Amino acid sequence: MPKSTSGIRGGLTDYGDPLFAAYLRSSFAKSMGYSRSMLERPVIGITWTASGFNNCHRGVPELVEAAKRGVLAAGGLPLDFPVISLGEAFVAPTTMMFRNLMAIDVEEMIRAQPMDGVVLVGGCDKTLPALVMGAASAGKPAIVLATGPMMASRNRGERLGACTDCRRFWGKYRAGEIDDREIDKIEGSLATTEGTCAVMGTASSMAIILEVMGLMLPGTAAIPAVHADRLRAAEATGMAIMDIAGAGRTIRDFVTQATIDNGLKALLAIGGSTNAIVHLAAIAGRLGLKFDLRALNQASDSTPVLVDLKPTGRGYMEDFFYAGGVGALLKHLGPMLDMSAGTVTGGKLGDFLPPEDDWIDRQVIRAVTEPIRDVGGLIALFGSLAPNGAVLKRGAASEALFEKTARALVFDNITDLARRIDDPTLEVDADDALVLKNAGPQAAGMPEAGYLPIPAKLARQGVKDMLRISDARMSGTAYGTVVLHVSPEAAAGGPLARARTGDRIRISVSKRSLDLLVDPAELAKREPTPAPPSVERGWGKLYRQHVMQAEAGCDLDFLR
Amino acid sequence: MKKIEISALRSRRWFDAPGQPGYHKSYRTKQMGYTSEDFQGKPVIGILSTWSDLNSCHTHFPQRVEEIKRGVWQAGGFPVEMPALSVGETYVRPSTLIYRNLLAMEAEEILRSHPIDGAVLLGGCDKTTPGLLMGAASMNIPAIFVPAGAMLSGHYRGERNLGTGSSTWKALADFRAGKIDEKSWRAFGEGTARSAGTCNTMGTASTMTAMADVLGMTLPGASSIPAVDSSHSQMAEKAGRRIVEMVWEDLRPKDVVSRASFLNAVATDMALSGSTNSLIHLVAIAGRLGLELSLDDFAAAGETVPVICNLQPSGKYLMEDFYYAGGLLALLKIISAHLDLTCRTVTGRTLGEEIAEAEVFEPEVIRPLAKPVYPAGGLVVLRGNLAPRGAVLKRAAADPKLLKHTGPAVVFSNFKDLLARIDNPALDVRADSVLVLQDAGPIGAPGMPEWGMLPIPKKLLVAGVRDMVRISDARMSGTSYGTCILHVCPESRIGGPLALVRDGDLIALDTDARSLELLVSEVEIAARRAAWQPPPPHYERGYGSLFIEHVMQADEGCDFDFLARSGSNPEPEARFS
Repeated sequence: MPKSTSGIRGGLTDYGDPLFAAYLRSSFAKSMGYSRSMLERPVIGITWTASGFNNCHRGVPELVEAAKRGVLAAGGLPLDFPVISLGEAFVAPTTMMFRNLMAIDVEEMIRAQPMDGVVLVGGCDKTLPALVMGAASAGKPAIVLATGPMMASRNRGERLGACTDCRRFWGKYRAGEIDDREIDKIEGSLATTEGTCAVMGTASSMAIILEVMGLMLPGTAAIPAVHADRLRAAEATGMAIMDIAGAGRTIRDFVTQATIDNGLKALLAIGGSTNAIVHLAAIAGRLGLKFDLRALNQASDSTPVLVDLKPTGRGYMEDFFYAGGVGALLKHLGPMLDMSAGTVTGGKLGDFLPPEDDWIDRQVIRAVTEPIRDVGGLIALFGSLAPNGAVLKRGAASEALFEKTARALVFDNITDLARRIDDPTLEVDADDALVLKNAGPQAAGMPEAGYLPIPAKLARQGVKDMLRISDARMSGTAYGTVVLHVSPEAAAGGPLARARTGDRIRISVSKRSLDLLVDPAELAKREPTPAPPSVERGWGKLYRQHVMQAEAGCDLDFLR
Repeated sequence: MKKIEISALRSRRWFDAPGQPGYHKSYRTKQMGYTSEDFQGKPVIGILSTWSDLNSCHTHFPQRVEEIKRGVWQAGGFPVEMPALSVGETYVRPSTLIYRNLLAMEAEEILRSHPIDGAVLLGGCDKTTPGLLMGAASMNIPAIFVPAGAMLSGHYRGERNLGTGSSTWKALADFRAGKIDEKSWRAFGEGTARSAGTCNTMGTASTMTAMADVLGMTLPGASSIPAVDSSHSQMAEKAGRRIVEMVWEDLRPKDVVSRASFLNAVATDMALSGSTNSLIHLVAIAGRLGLELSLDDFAAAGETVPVICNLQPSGKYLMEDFYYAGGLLALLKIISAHLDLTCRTVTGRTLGEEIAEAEVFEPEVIRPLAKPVYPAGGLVVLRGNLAPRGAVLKRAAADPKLLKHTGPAVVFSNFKDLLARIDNPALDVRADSVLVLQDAGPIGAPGMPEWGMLPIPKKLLVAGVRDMVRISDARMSGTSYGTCILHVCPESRIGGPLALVRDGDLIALDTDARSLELLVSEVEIAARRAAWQPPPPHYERGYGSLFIEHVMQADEGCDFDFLARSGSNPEPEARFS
């Protein structure tokens, strides 16, 4: 029997007798119908995240098959294994509560099973960060294969796709502009293919920045889920992992501070999701690298927005793909990035650049000289309401609300918000700031509750945006003047816990500040709003005890 | 029979959530190609499959999932398949037990966080059965377990009763002793794993699926059907139909399973001469249901119920034979005097009703009480100054000559030490020595691996020795055998007396007296304890550190303290999109 400790004999189960363990494993492997010569090959694990509750991952089985073809063709034995699947649309209270559970699952199954390399297949929001966090900690060679975005669809000749349009039409329905029959018809046209959200939401943002970070093959982040190129990318990824495994190249080997900084700049240039800030911080944390919100502000001041996609702009992901994708973005953004950063294929980010004469649709992916905005779409705010920072997607916000002192209308928690927001007697004015407490990581798993609805009575008057502040997150497909990730969160004793209706809150985007204009002595005297009742057992308890604040990526402390 | 209205289903909190969130769920379901008629107004059935390319026992699950879905559609439900962590015994290191609790936590959270009204759980390979049942118990929504079923009997050169594990352990001993060559040994191994399915002996997988069956969590008798038998597919389809009815009847695990069900399971475990791992898993599952179950219950049953199931490793036959002999239901009928027949099953009927028509067709495989394979006492719980909280001995698999034995200890301080020295010709060991392995418990090893069948030192093997008294805080594979005292509790890593044993100490095993004593003076033990230092922890971060901080001892089922306890764990709000 070969003495090899890689391949199917890697990391033998301990039965107190290693020779026996190898023998038993081979005989069991044969019960799966593999021949001996197949079992002599390097083993490539492939994560399986298809689920009946993950609409975005409906194409994963076909992608895994294509990746397996690639592995086989390159001489490996591909074996897929299931990990928990987090479909954004169905998981309650929020997938964010389970990103770290998925990261544990991924890390432990990569570590516990015999594999020489792993292909990380995923797309839906929390999946890509969880896969990368887990694989980074497991320390085996790994490459990312994104599922790709869905196609845009049409309704009455108008293009639409995923939740940016979903929110828009729902807003019209709430305001009485469209009827039941129309909203039902739109329901069937919002998401018409497999794949992740069709706009620059969290899934697309994460896929794009991971390509810029060199974690997947060049040119693969933006390929639509149903495009034949997507399957070819899967095949190529299957072949590539064999080289990566052969070289023993792990994520830790090539991801450096330059990689994280490149990722951040790319996020700004695409006008990406606020959630990606949290995930990038978590990934950096797993690798002992730095990520802080002040660096975000510096990068934001110097990085223009180049990509014109919803929710901040006009197009859909397929437009980005046909316009040239990440390669085109790199070409335009190149001078601002560290092109010597390493990649999973063993080269430099500069190698990911497309040929000089490749066509770029400059309407969708702009040149630095003609940006959509001169500065990045995301900024951090600091001040007496958010000593450790808060985040604003200024690219999706109303400039009229950037420099403002507003009266606070405070909701103690999500239930309070749901109960009162549409109450016709609610005392609220379009100039108020809506403030939500107890929606942070410890309190509630940091759901995407930060996009507080405009109170019904104001919505009917035509109010489209208001200043909104919370310790929650927001869907990457949402928009508005929404200040998020206020840290420390209310439940952790942050100043937010002591804010009251009637307080004045001052936001200044130009100064990057967010202040609660209450005398510190007066504030200290106030009783903070109590945190939600404790969870007494299970994952919920573990999560609440160990979760870190947003600026640290909401990882669990013992996983760093 | 219908008890609850559609509006009371938990899935409605997702699909009927007011405003955009409910709308969002609906259009996302349509994204998967379903029409409203497919899912609106129906119970949503979550199918948790532990299929994986790295789980050789579960290779048939994709097909079973299709059959379950067929049943769910027929009965008017909406089936949804979801992946769950798959812990294949032969591939996962250092030990699948570490990940049983991760699977349990994941299963519970998957069920809680999704719009699921009823669950079908597909498991079989050792830890998957308890892991899924623990999760479903904590969640307590209607659930039915579909056991993987055992693989076919092994065949090699006319030998037709080759059991996975048991036969291969024996073949290994022959190979190590030079009685067979490597080629034969390998060909033999391949002959013992011939199809999809779990180990074909009464090992941990078959024991645990039988336990799930007796507890009432499977369709009655399902655990005995071989994995590749067409009845297995039919069983899967029936389970799909039944779970939809269970949702309407609101029949939940806590309605089905009681303490009496667990006592039935324990009695059956004895009659089967089931795997010692079942002690840990049953205690853990009972804990999740808030039910009392302790080693004393096993000890009591062990004294009265004989082994009547003539399956390897304690007996001769294999799971395929067991099925043809009448299966679990026939065995239950034979031991019905030891059972509470009023216990319920997922069918809504009683265990008594389910076994009424069962019959034994092969009395050599399922013996009558008057002609047992082994009289009462197949599994005993030992206590004494070496194991104040108990230890376990599978007497039926032990050499009778060693059941009362006093010998000098040969101590290995951990598993590495054992590997380094066990075959060293210079090792000071005799046939009457007692082999002691320390630091192999839940926290120590970590994960309480199946190291408990310590290998016989090569020089003794060659001399013909096939069994010795062996003591550890480890577990043992359900397919192993020998005079192996397991689960010594408390474990050595937390300062249990096992940590204090030294070479040459006399250890006295008296199986009839149920005692295990370290024949060293109290004063000396106290002095050793005072000087004892625990080794540094295995893990400083990650799931490993979580495991060693929160895992409970073997007598408590090795669950995590924060999962085992009762307490609020609120249903999630489904109002974000």
